[in-house]
Amino acid sequence: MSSPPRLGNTSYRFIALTLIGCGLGTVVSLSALLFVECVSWLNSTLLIAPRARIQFFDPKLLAALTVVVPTLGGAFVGVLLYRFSPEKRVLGPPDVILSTQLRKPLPSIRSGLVSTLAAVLSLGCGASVGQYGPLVYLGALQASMLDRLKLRIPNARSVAIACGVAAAISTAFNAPIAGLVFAHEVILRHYSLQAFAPTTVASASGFVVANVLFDRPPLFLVVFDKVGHAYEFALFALLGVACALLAVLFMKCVITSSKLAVKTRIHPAIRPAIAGLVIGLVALELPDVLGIGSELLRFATIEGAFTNQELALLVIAKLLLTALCLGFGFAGGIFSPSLLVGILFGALFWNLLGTVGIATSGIAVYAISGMVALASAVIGAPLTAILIVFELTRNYELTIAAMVCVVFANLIVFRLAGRSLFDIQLAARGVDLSGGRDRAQMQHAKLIELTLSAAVTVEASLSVSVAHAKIISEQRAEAIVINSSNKFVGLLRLQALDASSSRPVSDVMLSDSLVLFDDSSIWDAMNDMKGFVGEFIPVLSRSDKQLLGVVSESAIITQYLHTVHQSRQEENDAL
Amino acid sequence: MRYSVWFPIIVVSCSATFLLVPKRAYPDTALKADASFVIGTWGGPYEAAQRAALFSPFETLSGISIQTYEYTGGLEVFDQPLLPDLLDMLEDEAEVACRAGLLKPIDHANILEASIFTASQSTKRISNDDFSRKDFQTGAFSQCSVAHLTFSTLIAYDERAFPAEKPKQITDLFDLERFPGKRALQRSPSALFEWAMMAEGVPISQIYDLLSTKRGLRLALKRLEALRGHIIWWDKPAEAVELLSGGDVVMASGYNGRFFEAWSRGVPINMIWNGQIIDRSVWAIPRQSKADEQTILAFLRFALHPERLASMSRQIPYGPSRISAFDYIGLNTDTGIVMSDHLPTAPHHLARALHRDTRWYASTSSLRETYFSHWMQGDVLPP
Repeated sequence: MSSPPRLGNTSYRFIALTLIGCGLGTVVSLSALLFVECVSWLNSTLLIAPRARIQFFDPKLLAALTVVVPTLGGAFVGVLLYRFSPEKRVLGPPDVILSTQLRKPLPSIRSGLVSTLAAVLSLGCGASVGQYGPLVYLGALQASMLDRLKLRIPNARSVAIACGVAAAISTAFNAPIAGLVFAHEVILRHYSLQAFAPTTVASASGFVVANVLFDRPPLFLVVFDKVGHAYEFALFALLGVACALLAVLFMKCVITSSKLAVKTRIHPAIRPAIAGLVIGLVALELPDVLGIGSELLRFATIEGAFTNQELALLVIAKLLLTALCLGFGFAGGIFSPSLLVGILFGALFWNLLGTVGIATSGIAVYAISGMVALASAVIGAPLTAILIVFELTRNYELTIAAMVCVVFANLIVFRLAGRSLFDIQLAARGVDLSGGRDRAQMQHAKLIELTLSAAVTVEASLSVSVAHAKIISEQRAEAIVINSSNKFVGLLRLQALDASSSRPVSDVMLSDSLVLFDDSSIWDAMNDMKGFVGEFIPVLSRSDKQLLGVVSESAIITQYLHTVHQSRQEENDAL
Repeated sequence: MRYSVWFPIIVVSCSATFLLVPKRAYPDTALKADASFVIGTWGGPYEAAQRAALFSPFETLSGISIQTYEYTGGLEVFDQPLLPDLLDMLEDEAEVACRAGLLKPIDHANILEASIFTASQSTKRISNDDFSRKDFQTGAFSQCSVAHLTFSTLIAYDERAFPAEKPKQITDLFDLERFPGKRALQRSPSALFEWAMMAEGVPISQIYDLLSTKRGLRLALKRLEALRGHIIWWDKPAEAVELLSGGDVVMASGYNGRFFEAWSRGVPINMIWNGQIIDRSVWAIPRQSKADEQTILAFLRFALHPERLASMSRQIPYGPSRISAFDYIGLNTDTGIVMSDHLPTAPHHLARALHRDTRWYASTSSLRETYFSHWMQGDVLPP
């Protein structure tokens, strides 16, 4: 049993974590507001926002700019990411998840800043991408700067990142509870009081800054009385199922688009400009596709704003263009486009119900349920989505309806595709989080990182008697047989040796014994070791089969236990 | 305590600067006493209030006579043979006129000078801060105009028509089931679009964003379609009050000052502040004006003085464009009503109030006109 922490230490942690929550919450919130304001200013200046477009004096010039602005914006984003970011790519929630789940530092601050700037530019010039992904990263980025302070608090990095992320979401949506839950549900993936308390403080700080200091209006006020018919809950479930299928399609499109972008062999720095050109050309006919589309989001809750054809067209256009923009390297998230596709799809679903002649409680509840069901399934955050509805609309009835829809969508997407697009993207990078974080950590920890012991080696050409003498003198029970160029050829067990035999070692060695490689993970080792009996396992270099050393079974198991223990401790820590 | 050698030098040079730079003389002293000019304004109780609060006192103090020319807004006034020398305009229309080169640029610094014609009637001393731009509402000064008051465009209803449930929200304007009867509305693509959007549940902050799309304009007219056949159109603001008080309609759009005036005369009408649209009136000088510009500017300095603005608000509940003027608003001189409670910007009127985006209005005037005239000709869905 571990001894209780000393009081002085506890109060230090308490104060430090509270200060981290409060300070980080405030700073992240201010920077998130700045981010949103910059995007909105760019949208007005660059004639992306309808309010700016309608006031522009020359329609022909407007049409020209509609194509030029996203194309040039894309060119800037491409060059910015390719030339100035060491990572040469957009950073987002997957990187944050990776960092907290595998206890790794985030990519460099410079990469983060460049990625954030690229996101502001992308969103500002009308790319069909979301703003919440970059905001989440911005929060995490600022939290990661705390790494430089030597705080001597276990898990300080994860806790700080959770704080930053919570504050960003809390500010962006004006929804502190959703911010808190998002940080746990998507980023931390466990609930410990140690993380929960400062995250709550950060989320509340973000809310205070956004609401009290700057008086940001609620994002989504809708009038909704109540669900009028009991059978509508079945319809919400049905909508959830439909949203799930659309979400899977959306995720597949995004992934396919990324692969396609690589296949085209277009230079990565030029790819966003091509996506921008496509956006601009489509916008000539369908200006709704430009930018985040907050007008569309509102229209979708108004009866009669769209015909069925318009809705279907917009769902498809927005889905494909978002996939194109993300795949071709525009910087931004997927959450806002998912919200938009979802709300349009929800409105379409409601329209169709009307065509069939089913009485309903109005468009708003279907539109909003569709919105959060699709978006939550894409990012794997059902609880957050339910709370976002609750905090944005402050409407209990609506939340209950949306809840049903969200749960069905998430269940089906989980079965068909995986926990979220983030997890799928991470899996493509070799980090499989589907088996929990212990497993991911062990899959990620390479065997070579453990200290390898020096092996007792014998050359294959030696005689058994010489080898026997060597093993005895080293006080071991085994020796590794190598050839003249230090390549592994087999294993020699003491009990199988005849001390007087003059046959070469190669005749009696075990050539099919268990070996591990330098790129094997602890997880692989644990799996391979099943049924293994022996002293040491040789570790070879994968490329040339050179013997690097040996590792004992106990070293691997110790590492395994250490990882599990660390996770359990993180999940159960109070302070 | 030791001072550096620079100290006396700085002190002397500062005082010298102060003494040597001549104080700006009030330009009003050079005015011709027998001059006269014409102001284009809106007639009715509004003009009566201006006459009492601004025109007559100015005439008495300066000896300059002011004639008025009644008009009802719009840019048609610039085509009249008898163009007024000073216009009381809607802010967005002044913006359009300014962009079209119909107005003279205004010398803001001149307007911020104190007027010699203002005999201070109150005991409160006007501070120097009151003669600065900061004393005016944000954006009150623009290239060709200066804002002088805020007014509200809203819906009033006939109390007699709805003895039981009263209309309370802007949505009720479109609800013919609960509130049957004719509506008197201005024959103009203003306010109607905003109200239609509000009735769709769009939050105030998003009204103009949504109206900036074809979809928004179409949706607004679709909402208005519910009222087709139940509308009597008015052109002059006075008609709105007449139609309502005469019992021809049960609801009417109009300006809060005129409705207030009728109400204070005992006409049984009431206003729906929910969904009110707050707007500004500005002074603007037509480019073609023949009158002496110094005379006009002297009048503007007088009319924009905090006490004069407050005096106007005592007559009719339109808010002054200067912050310091609010201190002088008291009771209506005739009825003794506390006027600050009736201003558009009174806190209990602001729960759902939209500030008109005048730049948006100015930029979209022809577009709105196109949609509106299509609709008037019976097309449900314009191009």
